[in-house]
Amino acid sequence: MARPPLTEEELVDRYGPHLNVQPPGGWNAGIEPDREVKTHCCFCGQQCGIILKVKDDEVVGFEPWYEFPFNEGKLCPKGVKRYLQNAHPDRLLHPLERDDQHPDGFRQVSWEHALDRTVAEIQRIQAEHGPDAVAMLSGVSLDNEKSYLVGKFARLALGTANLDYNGRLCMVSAGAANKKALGMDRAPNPWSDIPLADVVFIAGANVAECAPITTSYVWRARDRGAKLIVADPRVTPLARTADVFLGLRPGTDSALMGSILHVLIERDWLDHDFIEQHTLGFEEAAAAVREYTPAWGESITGVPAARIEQAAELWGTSATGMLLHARGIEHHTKGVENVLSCINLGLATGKYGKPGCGVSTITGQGNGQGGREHGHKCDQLPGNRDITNPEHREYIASVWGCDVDEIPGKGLTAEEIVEAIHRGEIKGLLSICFNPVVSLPDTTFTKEALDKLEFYGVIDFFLSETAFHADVVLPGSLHEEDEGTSTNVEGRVIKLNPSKVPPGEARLDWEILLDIAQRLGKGHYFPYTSAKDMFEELRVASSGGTADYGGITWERVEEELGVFWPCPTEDHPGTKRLYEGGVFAHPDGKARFHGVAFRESAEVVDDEYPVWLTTGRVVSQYLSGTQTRRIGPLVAQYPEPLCEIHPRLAEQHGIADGDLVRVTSRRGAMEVPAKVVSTIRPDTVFIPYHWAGRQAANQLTNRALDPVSKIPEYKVSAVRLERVGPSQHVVDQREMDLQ
Amino acid sequence: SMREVAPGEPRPIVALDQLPENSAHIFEFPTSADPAILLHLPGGELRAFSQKCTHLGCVVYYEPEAVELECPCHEGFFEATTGEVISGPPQRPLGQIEIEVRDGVVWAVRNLGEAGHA
Repeated sequence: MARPPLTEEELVDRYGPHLNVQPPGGWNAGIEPDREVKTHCCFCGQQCGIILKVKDDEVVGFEPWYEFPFNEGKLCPKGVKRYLQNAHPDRLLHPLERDDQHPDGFRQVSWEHALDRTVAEIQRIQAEHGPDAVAMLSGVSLDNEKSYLVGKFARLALGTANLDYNGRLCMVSAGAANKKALGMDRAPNPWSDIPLADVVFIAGANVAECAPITTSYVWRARDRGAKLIVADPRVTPLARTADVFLGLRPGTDSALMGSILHVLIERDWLDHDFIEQHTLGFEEAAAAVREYTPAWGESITGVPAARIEQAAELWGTSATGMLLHARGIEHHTKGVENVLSCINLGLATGKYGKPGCGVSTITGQGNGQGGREHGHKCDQLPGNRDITNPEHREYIASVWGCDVDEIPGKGLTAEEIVEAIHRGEIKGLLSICFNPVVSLPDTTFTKEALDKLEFYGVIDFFLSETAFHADVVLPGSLHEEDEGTSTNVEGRVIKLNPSKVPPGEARLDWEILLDIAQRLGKGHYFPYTSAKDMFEELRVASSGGTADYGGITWERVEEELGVFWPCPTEDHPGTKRLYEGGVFAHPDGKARFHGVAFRESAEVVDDEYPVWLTTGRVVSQYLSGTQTRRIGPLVAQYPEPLCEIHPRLAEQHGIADGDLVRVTSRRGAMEVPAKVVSTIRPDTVFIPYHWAGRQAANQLTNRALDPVSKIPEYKVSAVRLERVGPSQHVVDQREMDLQ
Repeated sequence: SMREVAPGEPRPIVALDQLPENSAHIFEFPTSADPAILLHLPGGELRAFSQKCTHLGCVVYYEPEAVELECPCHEGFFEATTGEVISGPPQRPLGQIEIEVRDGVVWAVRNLGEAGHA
């Protein structure tokens, strides 16, 4: 039983998060680096270029990389502190094995022992319960090479169908909708199109905090006179500069978009030629919104009808326009429908395949784009191929040199894997780059599931809250220690270069996986001596797929400062803008409208739980916080979760700014200081989710999934509020001394 | 300009004798959602502009000592006589509003937008 060996407090005391507040050798402006490494930030899907400064095999600082076109030297608060995860006191330096008798809860073991134990447990469980009783969970902070490797490793070395990844919590709703409507899952535009848009429509994306560098693209459009529309339950920082703010109720995005489509049709702000020549299904989409008048839209969304009309006019009468969306519309039981309702607006007005025109998701995770293309997703093979398609399976089997029957079928998605563990059907788990205890909804359920595992092996560089449950911990590599490629929010493949070697006995992630495969008797499938070997195989495996990397080489990526896929041959320039000439990626070249009827979220407010809860991020933290909760200057910016609450709602509950508030849902309760702000709807509270234990917002969230994308509904829960008392902090971390 | 400018319906703003020289009056034009600023410049000339800074939409204020319009958000400055950018992040002039004095009352007659600058 994979129960943590000590209490959470004891484990945090020993393994962190502790704060790294300064680089090795202290703050020293005069330090002469041994070398400077051009690479990329690891802390979001923008993948900004950065130059890391290395001295004595430690990363000691950074310089802006002005030549890299995406960010031109600009970095956000996370980017400028990313190097402080290096030389960190919490870094795992040796393999560990759980030992309930050991005062630290884990004892150091040799690599031989750790790998032998891992393989013996996998083999025992699979012999007793079948191959699918061992699952693997992966993550899209991994580079393309490792994403590809994990997909092949799980299918051919572990032989399990049950492989999925934390991209399932990121952009899968957008991915599924893009494939349905457009035939391909990639942002249709390079970001250089944003400044060419006459109207920029941001839906459910806290751009300034979650994709900060994208702000500069929006502002360049503004400098040309572009109008800005923002739809969000919160007046996010970028929304404060909007021409039209649509402050909708959580969970009503498709009603808002449907209502806008209704106005576009009624006022004939349509591109009839485009609809006729390049799309199918307009009548179905129109029929679905026939009753969705602005007045109806107001009744559902809470956005004044006049503002819905104003947004429709700006979108419908502008020659060019970009609609950018993110988790705000995607983290729903109707995430796919929400995205389809946005795509409908783009298709209806012909805003595709032209400069400054497109509807695009903003990926959140570091390699959110590339990591979702090459096969560590339960239904997918490399090149964004379909694991259930016989032709796709045959092709990948030919690349892998295996019998097609050796490739398992479609497995369970991430949350479904955890549910199968909870039911006792999956008994063994191997994970890399995933911290589900913090990032999955309904924390109590996730911990119960992990406790039930007969064996849990973790590859990670810090002992995350999820790794507290591990039987064996295999110390892996940081972003700056490995070499490979990732693919940024635009579909631009870029090169990550190593700055240093892993410390202590820590090893490169891919070497660990190769060793496990070897011990499982499958080493012949993984004859790689470098990450580049894996990329060369990925090129072949993706060739002919929609995400075609066939013509991309590491050398080209470095020389050209990134290459956009699809890029089928080495003499192909890459594809910056998709769908030019109105040619979409479906076999008939046409895009599909979808009829989107509004339906309510899985949980709605009632007398017992009368307040909407929505969750999200803050600018100084990244995802589950495994990395950023260990960086002192980032923690200082926003040390603990706060519950944003409107002054009117606060007054109803007698809550003053800073008071401790108990927030209770059907899943659990947490106590959190109130942050009374007028930038949120009075019927909604917001808690950022980056923290663990009693500070985890996901104690409250709902495990309800989108039926297509299987993304959890993080953005809508019903809660009640009670004032506990004044803030009870022994130490106010906001005043902590960072020297 | 990217789109056609809504001209607005003429409407009275303020009686001229209520607006001393070298001062400003805030009003809305062409709709009640569009903040605008009327200036009575030293020497007696009248001007009216959209109050929205062309950088990020903060409202601009009249600085009588400098005879300039200032956006306090990011220190953008505009000419009070023409609406042209003097300095700061704004890239485009303020939108201009055509005005007339009718029987001692200043009227907003037509929204000219940013292209209204001759």
